[in-house]
This record gives sequence, C-alpha cells and structure tokens, in this order.
Amino acid sequence: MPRDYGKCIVLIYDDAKNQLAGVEIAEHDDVENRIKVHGLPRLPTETVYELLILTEPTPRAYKGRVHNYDRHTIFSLYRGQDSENRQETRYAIDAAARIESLVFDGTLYPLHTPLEARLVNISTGGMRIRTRFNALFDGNRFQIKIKIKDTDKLLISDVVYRKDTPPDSSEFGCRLVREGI
Amino acid sequence: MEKNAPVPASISLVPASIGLLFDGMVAPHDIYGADAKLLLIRRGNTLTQSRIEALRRISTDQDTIMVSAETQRLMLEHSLACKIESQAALEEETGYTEIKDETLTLLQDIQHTGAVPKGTIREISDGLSSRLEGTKPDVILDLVNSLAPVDEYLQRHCINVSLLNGLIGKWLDLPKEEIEWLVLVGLLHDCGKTSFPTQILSAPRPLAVAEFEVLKMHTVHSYDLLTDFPENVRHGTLAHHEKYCGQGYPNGLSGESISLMAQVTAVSDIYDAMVSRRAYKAPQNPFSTLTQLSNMKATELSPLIVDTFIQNMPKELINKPVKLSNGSVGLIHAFDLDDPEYPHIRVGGQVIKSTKELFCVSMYHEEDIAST
Repeated sequence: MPRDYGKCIVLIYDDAKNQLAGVEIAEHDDVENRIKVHGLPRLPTETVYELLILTEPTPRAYKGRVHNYDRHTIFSLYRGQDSENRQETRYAIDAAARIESLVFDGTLYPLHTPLEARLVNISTGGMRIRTRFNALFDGNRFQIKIKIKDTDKLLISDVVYRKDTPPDSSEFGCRLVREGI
Repeated sequence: MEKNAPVPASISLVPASIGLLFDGMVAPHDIYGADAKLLLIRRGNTLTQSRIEALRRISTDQDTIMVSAETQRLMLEHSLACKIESQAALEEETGYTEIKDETLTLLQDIQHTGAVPKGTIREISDGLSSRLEGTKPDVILDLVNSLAPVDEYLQRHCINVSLLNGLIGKWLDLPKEEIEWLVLVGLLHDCGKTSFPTQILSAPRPLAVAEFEVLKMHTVHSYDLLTDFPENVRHGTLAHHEKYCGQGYPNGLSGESISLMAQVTAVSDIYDAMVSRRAYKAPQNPFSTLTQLSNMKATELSPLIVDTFIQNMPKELINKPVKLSNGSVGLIHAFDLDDPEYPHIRVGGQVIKSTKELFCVSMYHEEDIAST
C-alpha cells in the first residue's frame, strides 16, 4: 500500500539563515520523519539544512539531511541540539496572508472583509506581519490564513507589538498561540 | 400682584417662559405678564413652587412672562444646570425609563437565548408607537438628545433610533402602518450586536480596522436573528449601514435599492450616535450634526430623508435654552436651513446669529462642546 504523504508548506534555510529557493509545498512522511520536495536544485548530499514546516497550530523547526533523487529531494528530519533556541529564530519569508477572524473569549468572530497581509518572518513561536495601517491593536488575538500555492494554513496569534509605517501600513509582532483559541 | 405697575425706563424686558422660574429664585428685577404691564413678582421676592403654579394658572398668554435680561439669564443658567435632574423626571413621566428597562431585558434575553421573542418585541414596539403618538416631537428630541451613561448606550440607542424613525416617518407623512414598521426596525436594528464581545462594543477607543470589520457583521447577525419577522423589517436591519453611493456594508447596495426602512434608520442611527456620549468620544450638540448629515447627503445618506430631517428637526429646538461659547445663555430663536449649525439665539433683548467664533456649546449637557 503506498504511503500517505501529507502535503505541507516548508521553508528551507542554509546555515546563514538564507532561504533556499522559495516557499515549497512538500510531502511529509510522518512515519519515516522525512519530507520530499520536488523541483529543488541539486543540493550536496548529506548536507544539513534548517527546515521550518508550517504546521498548525504552530510551525515546527527541524534540521534535515539531504538525499538526492532524480526528480526530488528527500530531507531526513531530526531535532537539532539547538532546537530549543530556534523558537526565537526568525526565518525571513514573504508570503501572502489574510487576517480572517478575531478571537474574543474563546470565540472566533469573522471579519466582514478579511484583511490582506504579508508575512514578513516566522519562527516556531511567533511571526511578523505587514498589513493595513491600524489594522490591529496590542492584545488582539486573530486567526490568519497563510496561503501558499494551493495549500493554506490557519494560525492563531496574539499581537505583542506594533510598528507603524504611516500612512499606509503597520507591522505587527505576534506570538503564535499553541493552546488553540 | 399689582396691576399696570409702570416698568422703569432703565430696564428693557424680554420674553421668557414661566417654566423656567424655579423654587427659591430671588427675582433680580420685577417680573411682568406677557403684556409687560401686569406686575407679577416684585424685585427681591423669593419664588415658591406654589407661587409658580399660581402664576401658571393665571397666565393668559400661554406661559410667557416678561423679565429683565438679568432675570432671564438667571433662569436659563438654572435650567441648564438642572438639566440632568429634569431629564430623569422627563424620562419617568414619558415612560422612557420603563421602556428602557424592558429593552435592556429584551437585549439580554436575545444575548442568552440567541432568539428574538416576538411577543415581547411587539409589546415594546407598540408601547413606543403609542408614546410617539402622545408625545410632542420636541419632547421626543429632548429624550433622544439627553445626557446618558455610557453603559446604557445600546438599549438607549435602540429606543432612540426607534423614536427618531417614528418622527421621520411622520414628517414624511407615511401611513400609520409604515410608521409602526419603522419604529420596530429602529428597535431591532442593532439586535445582532448582542452576540458581540464587550471588548468591541465598549472599547474605550476608536476600533482597529479588523475590529471594525468584525463589527460590520452585526447587520448580518441581526438579519439572521429575525427569521420570524417580515422581510421589510429584516432588510431594514440588514441594510441600515448601506450607503447611498454603494460604499456601505454588508452588500454594497446603492440608491433606491436600499429600502426606505433602511434609509430612514441610517439617518436616525447616525444622528443618535453623534449626539450620544461614548467611551471614546464626547457627545456632539444637535446643531453640528445637522451640518454633518447635510454633508453626507447623496454620498452616504438618502437626500430625501436628510432634507426631511433637516427641515423639521430644528423647528423642534426653538425656544430651548442654550449656552454660548462666550458663557452667555439664551434661547434658540430661529435656524437658517442652509446653515443649521449656527442658529439665531435670543440673548436678553437681542437676537444674534451664532458663528464659528460664537457658537452653542451646551444645550442638553455641559460637555457637548464639539460643535467646531
């Protein structure tokens, strides 16, 4: 029986935190704990990269060792010794996102018109987004949909700080919520 | 009382209302009847409630008396200072307090059950309609424009929009049944807000964009809650934030595709929101709202409804006491329809046109100074 590889969004970075290629849609093999990525340039075999897999409710960070195949690349995943620290590591990204709902007292309240946003960076514990000026206030809890190619992920996040770049936009530093809404 | 006592040449008399005399007032100058000849109260005398009542009984020309400018100023200042107490009495007298309590219970029921009790709604709505019939428009505006605690905003707003809808319906000369529908839509127009968090409804600041986008959904919630009501009522609540130019929500309707129910409710809703005190803003006085409503004509609001409101509402404010920005007090004398923000005020024996520099700062409450 063929193994069921779940689709996932993955970001791949080298040691210097430079993003390799773009944001990739990969296939995640939970049993073997590895992911398969199509269309990457050939990478040096056995080289280790950092991978951030956008899972719900929060992304997970791994180190991944490269195995090259004809049409795809396999990364064998393992937790690096510095995995604890990597919660703080911000991975640069530029991806489309939409703020879809606010959360108050454990209830989701959908927006009449979702707000378009850009994801600026992300870690396993937080993210920074750029969106409309004055879109959110400190303390707002919101649900954001990150849409990459045909795959989306919904994350719940609290606004921790805002930095205004008037007149048009504000950036919001956010803590991802692990415990649900 | 002394008949035909001569008025000293040095004192010019101005008209005032007996209703502005108050218990304990010491008359600074003689007070005369409407003919300016019959001496009613001698200078230095202290008025008692029974004496005021007696004057009211013998008054031949409605309730007009002739007083010195200083006496008039004393009466107006006292009237403005007592506005809060007299407001509570007025609310009791007109049944507003009772309806306010019933509306609060209704909104709480909707919040807890997620259902709109049709019978209770009909009772409150009928009560509002009958009070609308039996209450003079200027008194209704006194109720709507009153100082109100921030935490009573939602129930008062529902009642006020209902009353204003009824008034506009009358001014439009609509059939009685249509006016009753308007009263009902006003009462229910924000019922969808009952399911919204207090963090949004009572935010002590202007809302963030995302919060406002959430709040916009209250129209849809109201519509969904009213499944047992006729479509004209449901559409009235759903569309009361649609704009005449098509830039409103939730559906971006424009012009006459917005029902009359919703067009009227939009004007009432905006007017009451402007004159109300909120956690994040002071109330505006009724005059400045008229200019703003006029500016929204044809872009946001129906020209017919705005014109009807501006042509009729100011008339009901005539002869109401008002304080001006230089500290003087007077009575509203007249309005220019093309400049309703700056009414003509009778101060002492003079009528002056208020201006951007000398404007009305207080009518219903001391802090409504946002007229510029």
